[in-house]
Amino acid sequence: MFFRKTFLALSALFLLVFTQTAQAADVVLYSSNQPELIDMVSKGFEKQSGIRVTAVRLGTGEAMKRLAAEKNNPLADIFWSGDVAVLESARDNFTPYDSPEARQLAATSPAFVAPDKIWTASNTQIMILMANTRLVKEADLPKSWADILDPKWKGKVVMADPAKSGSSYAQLYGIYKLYGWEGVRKLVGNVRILDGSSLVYKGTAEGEFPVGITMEYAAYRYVAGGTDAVKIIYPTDGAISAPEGLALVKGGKNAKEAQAFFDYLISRDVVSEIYQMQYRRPARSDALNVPGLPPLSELCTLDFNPGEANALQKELLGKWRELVLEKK
Amino acid sequence: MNRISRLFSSWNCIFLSALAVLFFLIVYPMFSIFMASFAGDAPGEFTLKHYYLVFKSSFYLKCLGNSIFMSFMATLFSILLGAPFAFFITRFKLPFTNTLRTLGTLPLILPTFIGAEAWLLMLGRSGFITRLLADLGIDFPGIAGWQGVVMVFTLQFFPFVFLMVAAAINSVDRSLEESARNLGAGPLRVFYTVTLPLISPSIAAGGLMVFCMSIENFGVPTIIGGDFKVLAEQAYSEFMNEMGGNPSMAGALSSILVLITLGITILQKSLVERKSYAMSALRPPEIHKLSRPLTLAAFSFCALLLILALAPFAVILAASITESRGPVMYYGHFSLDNLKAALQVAPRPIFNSFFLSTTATCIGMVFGMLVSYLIVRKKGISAYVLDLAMMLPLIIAGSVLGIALAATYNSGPIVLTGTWMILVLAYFVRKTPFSVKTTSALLQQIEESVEEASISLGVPPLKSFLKVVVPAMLPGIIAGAIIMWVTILAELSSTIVLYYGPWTTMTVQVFQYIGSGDFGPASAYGAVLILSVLLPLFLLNKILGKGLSPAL
Repeated sequence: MFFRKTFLALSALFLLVFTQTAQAADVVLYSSNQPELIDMVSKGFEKQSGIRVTAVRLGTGEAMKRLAAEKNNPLADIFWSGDVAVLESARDNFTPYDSPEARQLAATSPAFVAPDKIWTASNTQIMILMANTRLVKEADLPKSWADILDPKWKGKVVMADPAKSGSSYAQLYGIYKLYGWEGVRKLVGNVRILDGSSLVYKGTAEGEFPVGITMEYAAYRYVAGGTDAVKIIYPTDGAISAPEGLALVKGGKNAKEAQAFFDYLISRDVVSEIYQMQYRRPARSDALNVPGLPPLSELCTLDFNPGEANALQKELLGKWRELVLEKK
Repeated sequence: MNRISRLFSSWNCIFLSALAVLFFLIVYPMFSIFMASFAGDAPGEFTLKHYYLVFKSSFYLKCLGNSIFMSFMATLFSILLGAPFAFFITRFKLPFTNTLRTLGTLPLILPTFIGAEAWLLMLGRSGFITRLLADLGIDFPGIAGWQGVVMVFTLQFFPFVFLMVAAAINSVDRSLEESARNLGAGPLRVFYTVTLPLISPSIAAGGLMVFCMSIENFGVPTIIGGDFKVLAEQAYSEFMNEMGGNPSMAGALSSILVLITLGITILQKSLVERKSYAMSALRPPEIHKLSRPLTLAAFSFCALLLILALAPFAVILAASITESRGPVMYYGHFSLDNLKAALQVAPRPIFNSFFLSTTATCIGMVFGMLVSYLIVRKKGISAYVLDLAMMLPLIIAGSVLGIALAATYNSGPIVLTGTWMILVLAYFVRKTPFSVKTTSALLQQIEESVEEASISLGVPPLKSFLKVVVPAMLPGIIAGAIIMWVTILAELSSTIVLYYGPWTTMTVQVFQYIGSGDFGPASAYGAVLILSVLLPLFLLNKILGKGLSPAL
C-alpha cells in the first residue's frame, strides 16, 4: 500500500517535471542581463500579455556561440541585450524587426536602430573612468582620457580586452576617434588588459586596481550601494556613448510572442524602470531621469557610430593585437 | 576456439561500445572545431600556419610555459597534501574520521571560479585579511599571480588525490605489510618499500587528474592570475568571443592543450606500468592506534588542511547572511533576505542538480567499471588507445564541448538540444574519466590470479567479472562515483551552453549573480548548494565506511 502510494506520487512528480518544457504561448529569452532585471521583465510581461517568458541566462559571448550552434533548429526567440557591435558581427543569427516602439527612435537617432532593423538599441552605455580612492588620492584622480594616456598612469589603469568584449571595443573605438593611432598606441602602453569587462569594475571596486575603464551603470551600482571609495569620472574630453540592443532570433519558433516581448522591452515604462533600478540609460529620449546621475544633455559625449565602428573593427583590433604583442 | 565467436565475445562488444561513446560524444562533435585549426584563408586550404604562429609568438610560448608550470606545481602540492591526508585518515585511528572524510571531499563541490572570488575577498590587494595584516604593519601584496592560482588549484583539487589514494590504501592486503614487519622492517621502511609502491598507481592517477583539471581551467587564472596568462584562457577567449574571435587559433590552442595532456598521460602510464605490483587483496589492512602526540600531529595536519581548503566556504556562508545592496556587501550587518530569496527559487534547481548528477553518475559508474577492466586486463594496443582516448573529455573545456554537442545534436536524425538528456550526456562523458581512472588504478594493484581461478573452475568470464572482480574493485568504483557525483554538481561550463527551459542547476544560479558582481545573492545560492550536498555526502561516507570492510 505504502509503496503503491509512493510510486504514484513519484510518477506524478516525474510527469510534472519532464513534460514542463516551453509551451506554445511561451517566449524563450537568451539574456546576459542581471537576474533581477530578467525576473522583473518576465513577470511584468506575463502580467500584461499572459505570455510566459522562459529565460536562459548566459554571457554575451556564450549566447552568440550558442545561437550559432542552434541555428538549424533555434531554441531561442529573442536576445536581450548586448553591445550593438556584437549584434552586428553576429547578424546572421538574427532577423529584422521593425518595432512600432522604435519608429520614433529611428527617426530622431538613426544610430540607435540598424538600417535594416536587424537590431534595435534598448539602452546606451556611457564609458567612463572608475577610480578607487583607497589606491589613488582624490586630488590625483585623472580627469580625461588624455590624462590616462600620460606615462605617469602606466600600469595603473585596467581595461578589458577589446578583442574579446564589445563594450571594451567601444572604448577603444572612442579613444581612436579622439586621439587617433597615436592615442591607441599610448593606451596600449599604459593599460593592463583583463580578460572580461566584469573583471574591470569588480576589481576596481574591490581595490585590486586604482582606475578602470568601464561602463557608467556598472560603476554606479557600487556608488548607489554605498561604496565611498568608488568614484565615477566623466572624462572632460568626452564620455563615449555606446548603444546596447536586442534582436529577434532568426527562425525562432514563437515569432509573434517574441515581437510583443520586443515591443515591451523597449517601451517607455520598462526602459524607465530599468534605468531607475539598474542605471542603464535608455536609448529613447522620452524616459525618466534618475536622481544622482547627470542627464545626458549635461555630459560631453562622443557618439558611437555602429556602422563605422563595425567597418573599422578589423583594422583597429589588428593594430591593437600588434601593439599588445610588441609590448610583451 | 572458434575465431568468430571470440570476435563477438562480450568484451569485444563492450570495447566497441566504449569507442562508439567516445566517437559520438567527443570525436565527432569536436571534429569541426579541431579541423578549423588547419583551415587557411581560402576555403578548402590546409595549413599549419596557426600552429606556426603559436610557436613563433613569444606571448603564446610564455602562456604555454605558464600553463605547464602552474599545472605541475598544483599537481605536486596536491600529492604532497592529499596523499598523507588519505593515509592518516584511513590507517590511523583519528577522531571524527567520517567528518574529516566528508569535509575532505567537499572542496570538489565548489566551482573553481567561486573559490577564486572568495580567496580574492580574503587575500586580494584589498582583501580583509590583507587589510588586517596592513593594520598590523605587515605589507602583503595580495595573492594575485601564479602563487594564488597554484594555491587555489591545490586546495580545490587535492581531494582527487585523497579519494583515489584512500581507496587504494584500503585495498592493500594486510599480509604483505605483516610479512614485511615479521621480516624485521620498521614501520617507515614497510611504508616506503611495501605500501608506497603498491599505491603508486593511484597517486599517479590522482596527480594526472589534478594536472588535467589545472591545465584546462581558465576561470581561476582569469580571476586571480593578474598578468600571469595561461593557454586555456587564450583558447577559451578566442572561441567564446563576443567579437567573433578566431576559430582557427582557438582550435590550434586547444589541440596543443590536448597534445600536452596526452603526453603527460603516456608518461604516467609508462611510470605506472614499468613497476607493476599486484597482490590478491582480500584482507584489508588494520587501523593502527598511534601514540597521543602522533595522533595529535596527524589530526592537526588533516584539520589544518581542511581549514585552509574550506576557508572559501566560510566566506560564502558568512556572505550569504550578510546585508547587501546591489554588488556592495555590508559585512557585520546580518540579513536573511538573500538566503530567503534563494530558498524560494532553489527547490527546482536543487532537484535538477541532484537528478542530473545522479543519473549521469550511474551511467558513468557502469561504463567506467567495464572500461577500466578492459584497459587493465586486456592489454595490447587497443586497450592502450582506449585509455588515452578516455582522457580527452577531461581536457576539452566544458563550454567548448557543450557548444560542439549543441551544434551536432540540434538537427538531423537525433535531436537532443533543449532536453535534459543532452545535459546528462555531457556530464557523463566529461566526468567518466574520473570513474575510469579511479577504478583502473585500483585494479592495477589486484592480482589476476583470482579471476583466472574462477574462470578455470568453469564460471563464464562475464560472470567471473561480476562475482569476483567487481567486489574487489568496489572501493575504486565508489571513489570514482563520489568524484563524478560531486564534480557534476559543481559543473557550470557545459551547463550554461546546454540548459534550457526549467533545467537550470544550482551552479547556474550562483553564476548568474557572480557574473554581475553580486556576491551576496551568489553566496546565498552557494550556501544552499553546499548545505544540501553536505548531508547526502556525510551519509554516503558513513554507510560506505561501515559497509566496505565486509564487502572485501
